[in-house]
Amino acid sequence: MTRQFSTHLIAVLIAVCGLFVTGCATYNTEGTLGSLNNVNIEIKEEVIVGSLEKAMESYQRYLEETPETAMTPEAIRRLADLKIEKEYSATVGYDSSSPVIDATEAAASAPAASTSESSNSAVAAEIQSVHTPQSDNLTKPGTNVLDTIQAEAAIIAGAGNAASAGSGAIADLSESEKEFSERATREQQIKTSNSPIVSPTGKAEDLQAAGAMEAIELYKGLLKKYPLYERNDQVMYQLSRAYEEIGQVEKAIETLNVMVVKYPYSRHLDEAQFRRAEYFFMRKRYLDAEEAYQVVLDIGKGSAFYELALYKQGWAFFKQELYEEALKDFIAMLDFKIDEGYELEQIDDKIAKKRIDDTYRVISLSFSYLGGADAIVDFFEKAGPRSYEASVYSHLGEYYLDKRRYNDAALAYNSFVERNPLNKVAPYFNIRVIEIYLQGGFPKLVIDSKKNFSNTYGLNAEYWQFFDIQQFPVVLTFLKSNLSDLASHYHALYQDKRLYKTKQENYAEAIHWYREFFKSFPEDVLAPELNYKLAALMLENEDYRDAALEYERTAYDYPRHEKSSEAAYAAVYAYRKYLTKAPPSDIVLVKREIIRSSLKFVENFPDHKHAAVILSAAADMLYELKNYTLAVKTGRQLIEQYPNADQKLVRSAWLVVAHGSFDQTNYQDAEVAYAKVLSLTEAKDESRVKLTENLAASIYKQGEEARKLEKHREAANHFLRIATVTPTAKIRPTAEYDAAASLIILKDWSAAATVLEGFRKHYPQNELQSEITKKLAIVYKENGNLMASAAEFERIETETKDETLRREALEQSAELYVKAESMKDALRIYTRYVSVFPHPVENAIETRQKIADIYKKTDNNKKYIAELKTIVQADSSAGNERTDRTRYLAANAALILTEPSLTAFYEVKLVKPFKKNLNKKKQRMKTAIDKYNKLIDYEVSEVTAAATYQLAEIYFHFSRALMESERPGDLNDLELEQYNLVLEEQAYPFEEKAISVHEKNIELLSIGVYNKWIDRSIEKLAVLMPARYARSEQENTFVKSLTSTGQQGKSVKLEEQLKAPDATAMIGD
Amino acid sequence: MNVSIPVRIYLVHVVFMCLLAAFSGCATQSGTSRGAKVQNVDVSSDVQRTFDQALQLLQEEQYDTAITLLISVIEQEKRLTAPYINLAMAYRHIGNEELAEENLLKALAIDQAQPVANNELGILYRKQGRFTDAKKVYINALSEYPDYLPVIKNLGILCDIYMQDPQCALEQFEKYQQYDPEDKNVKVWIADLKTRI
Repeated sequence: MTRQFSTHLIAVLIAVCGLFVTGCATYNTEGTLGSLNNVNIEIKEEVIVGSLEKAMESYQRYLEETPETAMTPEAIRRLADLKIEKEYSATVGYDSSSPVIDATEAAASAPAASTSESSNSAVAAEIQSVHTPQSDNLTKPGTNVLDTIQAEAAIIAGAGNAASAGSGAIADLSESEKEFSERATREQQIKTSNSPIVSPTGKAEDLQAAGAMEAIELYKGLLKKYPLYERNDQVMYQLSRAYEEIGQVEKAIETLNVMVVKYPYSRHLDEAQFRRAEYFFMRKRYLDAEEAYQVVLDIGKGSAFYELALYKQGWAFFKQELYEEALKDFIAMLDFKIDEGYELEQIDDKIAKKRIDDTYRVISLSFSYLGGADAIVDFFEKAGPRSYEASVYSHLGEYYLDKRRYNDAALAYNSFVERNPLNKVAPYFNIRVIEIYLQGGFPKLVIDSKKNFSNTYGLNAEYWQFFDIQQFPVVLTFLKSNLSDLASHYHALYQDKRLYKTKQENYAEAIHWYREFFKSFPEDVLAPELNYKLAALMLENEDYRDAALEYERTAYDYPRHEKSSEAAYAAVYAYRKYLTKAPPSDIVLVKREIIRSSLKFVENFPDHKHAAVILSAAADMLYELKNYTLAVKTGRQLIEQYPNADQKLVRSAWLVVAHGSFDQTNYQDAEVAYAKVLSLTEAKDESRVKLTENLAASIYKQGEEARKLEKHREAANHFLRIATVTPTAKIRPTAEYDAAASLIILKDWSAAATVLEGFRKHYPQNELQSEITKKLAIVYKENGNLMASAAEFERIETETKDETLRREALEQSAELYVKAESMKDALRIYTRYVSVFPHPVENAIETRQKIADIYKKTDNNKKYIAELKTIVQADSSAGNERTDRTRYLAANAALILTEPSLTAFYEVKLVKPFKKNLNKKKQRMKTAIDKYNKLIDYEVSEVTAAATYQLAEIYFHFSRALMESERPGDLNDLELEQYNLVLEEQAYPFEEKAISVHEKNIELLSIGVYNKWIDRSIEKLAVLMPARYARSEQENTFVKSLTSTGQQGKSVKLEEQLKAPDATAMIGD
Repeated sequence: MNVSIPVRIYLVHVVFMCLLAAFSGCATQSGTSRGAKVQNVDVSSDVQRTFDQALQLLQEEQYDTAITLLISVIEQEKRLTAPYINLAMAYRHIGNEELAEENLLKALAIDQAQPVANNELGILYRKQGRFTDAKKVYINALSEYPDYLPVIKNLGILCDIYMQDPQCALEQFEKYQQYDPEDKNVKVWIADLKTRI
């Protein structure tokens, strides 16, 4: 670039020179200089091949062909300059922006660039590595945080923060301090200014051959010949340069010394002074150098050497160990660059960048000599803050690190962060501190700093209230890695058996950092795996409930991942472990959680190898919690979903279905399920007995249900089914008993009898036997098998201790025997009854009446009478037990017992010997009357009426007996007539008495007594007193017409109505 | 001569009632106690024939068979009183007072004042000693059939002998005498009663 620019200038010069030549020619031949005013000068930049030689030729020709003029010195100077340039390829261009070239810089920049590239690669590698954190990272250096910082620099550069460490990329610290110092302070190669010289005299060919020496001669000649030449400062400057080019440095400096004194206002003063300073610096004449640099600095920022002078003066101070002074220059230089509009961290020019880096390095050196980080603090407190302060700290940190002064390095970073906690670079500095500790091999400090970092830059930290974390991806990545590392670290410590004393502390730390990770990176790709580890840690620490929750989160709260199913399974396991530790009050809740987790596990991971086991266990627990509906559903799910599972599981599921269905009163389902369970149970299994009982119970319950619905046939069938399905079941007798009961309700007497008889036969010792007897008694009775029924009733009396029941059973038995006309058996039962149960007397007398009736029916009059007497006797001696009934029965018995006295009375005929018979009859009449009168004492209306009737009849009979008595055979007619009159007089009062007594009987009507005896008295009276008592009721004959049709309006003759009160006459009328 | 007047009145009354019924179509009384009398009930020939057979059997004192036929008639035709009454009489003859009473009550459910049924029931109750019930059914019959002589006489006997209410008996017998002044027995009974009152 510089060379090219110079070539362009040469083209311009040639054009101008051409003008000179033309002008001169015109001046000589055709006109004056004034004519130039009319000349249009065209200056073109063009590349001229071999331009240097042509220019030199031109100047040479000019000096040879033109007379000496005011332009001659200029031409000479130019010619000398060109000779030097040609000889030594000296720069003739003037670049104000780059007046000095450090010969070492170009070479140095290349490796720096390669270092940068390698750093970038390292960053990429590091970013990758962050995603796979290992606890080892904590103790093994390897993460180049510095590179990380560089990477991040690009991100934060936009904010114009010069403090970014990226600016500076930390200088190449691989070179030693000495090397650095030598390189950085090497004499600056200064680009010469270019002032074309117009040779005032001389010939071109001389100049062309002169070379440097010729140039020196030319300059010297010029100075000598034209001492007042206005540009002699430039001539001296060039002369100095020419001396320098040929190695005559001392002469060069002497020339410059003269020049700066002689031409203090030369425009080349800054360069001249700078060259002088450099000369002094290189000869370690730092004070002289310092002064010379100062002259340049005094010229001001307009000088192209200003920046370099600051830099080098800083170094001059540095070399004199005047570090504070040096720092002022270095800082001033950085300030200058910023003032110039540079962003320190974004300088593309490698040389400039290198100088910035070197500046930072020497700053670091200075501060290190001044005491380190504290010196920085002090410095900036005095000098005021700088935007690039952070870089100063970081460079110092890196400097220390290079020196393996780890604590000082960390301190440098930390010093900045402490004072600038909310600075953008703060997190990066913290990261670097961690790395420094890592590199230094300080595991505890690494951990502490990592914890500090995590606390300071966790997603919920105060820091992020000021910054958008999305703009800090590297920090984010580091934070993630950090949290993961911390969690893993403490997890590992927890598992280290040697650290058992701090086991719980490490546990708490691990938990804390795991949770911090999830708090900040809940959806991170690593989250599931870490969550799984957290759960495992909790499980290991026997925090089962928390472990279960974390396993569930691992399983279900992330997109499906490698550990999902295992986590889900482990959750169930953890819940079950928790169950063993949970307080009693939580047992049910925990069980519900187990069930919930189990069902969720199976739902989400149906193909898991343990899915069937988990489902089976859940079903069991559901049943245990009496959630029968869900238990059955779950059991069936296992059966249907895992038919090929271990048969023990399938059997267990069927068992839950069986039990659950039974408890839900789904007995039909229960029966099927129990049958299935039995089919899956080995023959020798002891549980078969209970299962069989359950199966029987399921069937029995179906019977009960049917019975409740009054489906008795169905009920009976179920009950009887037990005998065939589960013949050994204990409930079988009960079932058969109930079957009989249902059959009885159905009045299926025959079937009921069969069942009951079977029961009696098969279960002779069963406690229901007495009930069987009762039922059989009823069944036989209803089935018409009276004898069998009677026998059962008879048996009932022997099988029960209940006295009332025994009495009733005997009564039933006897009645059935009577119905079966087995009087002998009936008498046997009744007799047993009165023998065993003389009390209550009323029942006994009642029974005796039945005995009496049988005797009467069987014409066993003797026993009949005897039984009647017993009845009368029992009643009379009943005492307090005497009742209306006993009196009634006794009265009727007595009435019958009295009949013989009446018969005896009637039997006596009033024949000869009349008197004897009369007395006999009167005696018997008296006896009969007494007995009948005695019957009235019973106060039994029917007996009273009967007795009264009989008394009336006794009187009437006696009256008639007298009238019909045998007459004495020796009476004549008159005597006979008189005899008859006397008899009539004797008999009449008895007839009157008979009428009177019958009427007494009729009087009973007034007190509500009416029976056949009263009717018979009325009949007797109707004969004895027809006008008074002969009243025959008028009954109807059968109705002859079915309908009223044709009967309406039909008159009925009264006569017909009266004679034959046929209802037909009235129907329809 | 004197006794002919009430008879004529009775006859006129009966004719007049039926004329009234004829003019009013008789159907208007279908819901009354005399509904059966004024209702034209179409009876199938089978039922009629069975009833006639039963009647024949009753007269031949073959009560059990007659009962069977009458039950058959009733199964087919429940709107008429005659089968119930004859059935009740049959039961009375065989001594089953319970079924006799039951069928008489069924007849009275169709026609509550039916005099034959009431008379039969009155006698039944009297024999059972249920004198008050007997009097009630007699009076019930007389409320619509005040001139039905068997009931009048039987009520008189009930009052006289069984309820020992001579005044009631005298009233009945005197009433009876109005319809049948020639009845010598009743004359004697009236004379007897008058000596006791």
